[in-house]
Amino acid sequence: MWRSWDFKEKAAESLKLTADDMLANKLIDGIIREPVGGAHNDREKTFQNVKTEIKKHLTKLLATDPQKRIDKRITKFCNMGFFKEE
Amino acid sequence: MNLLDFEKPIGELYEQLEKTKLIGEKSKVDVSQTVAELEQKITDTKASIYDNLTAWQKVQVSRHPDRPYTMDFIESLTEKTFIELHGDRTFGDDKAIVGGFGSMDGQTIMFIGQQKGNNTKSRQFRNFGMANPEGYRKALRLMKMAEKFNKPIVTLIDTPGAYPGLEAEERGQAEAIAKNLQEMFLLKVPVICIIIGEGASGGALGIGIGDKVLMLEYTWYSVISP
Repeated sequence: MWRSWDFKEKAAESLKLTADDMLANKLIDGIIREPVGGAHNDREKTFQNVKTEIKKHLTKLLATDPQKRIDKRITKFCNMGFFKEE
Repeated sequence: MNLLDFEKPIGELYEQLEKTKLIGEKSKVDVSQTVAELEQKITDTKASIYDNLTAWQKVQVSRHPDRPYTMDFIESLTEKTFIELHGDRTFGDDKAIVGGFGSMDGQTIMFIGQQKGNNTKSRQFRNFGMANPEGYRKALRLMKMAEKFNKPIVTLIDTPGAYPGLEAEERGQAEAIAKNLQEMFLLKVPVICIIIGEGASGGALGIGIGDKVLMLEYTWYSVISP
């Protein structure tokens, strides 16, 4: 849009692309915490966090009926996004 | 150590720490208290910097060269039981997308994800994590296979985008991604999508339709990369 590398900060801010913004706009379902300093500072802890999250969600998902799961998935994505009327 | 520009204060503290240790060794003076203080200061500074990251700084963390990639995650989660499967049965094998079965604590899971390389050669080999149509078709083939065997699917997303080259368009990049979206909505098995680095637009969405979509803390997901 700005056709220049100088506006990268502004672009990143306006795109609302961080995990917190995505969650606030209801485009994702959850955030997995990373150790201080980012995933590369403590890989094992990151893997452990991811594993716990996968397990937590998987047990719930496996307990639901497949057709219900599909319906929920479709409604979830259909309800994404909002608009303002001026 | 690879430090990003906003991590400079941490780097300076590390330098001080090294110097103090050196002085302690040379002059046989007890520096353990200063060392402990410095280490405490490093932890504090790190925490305060990482509490107030701007969006662009988070993008920088997500692109950090030392960040764990898909295969690192898979190998750790499955404790080396992962069996990689190749090919899309029509054109070829895309190295930018990896996939296969692995067992995590007794539960067999189909893992699919974009893989980047950790040096120039392997980055080229993996096409920088930018998948071609055959990559998305391979992903779809593996998902259908998981559905047949009734195994849950976990996708790990880390891509700067779908590959925008001429050959990719010729082979139907848009069609491959669109087909993936359509089919992924109708999968009878649970699908969990996790963004572990960069998540750019169609490249991420092509394997990103799931019952649960999760993001790691310092990652991004957007229609276009900043």
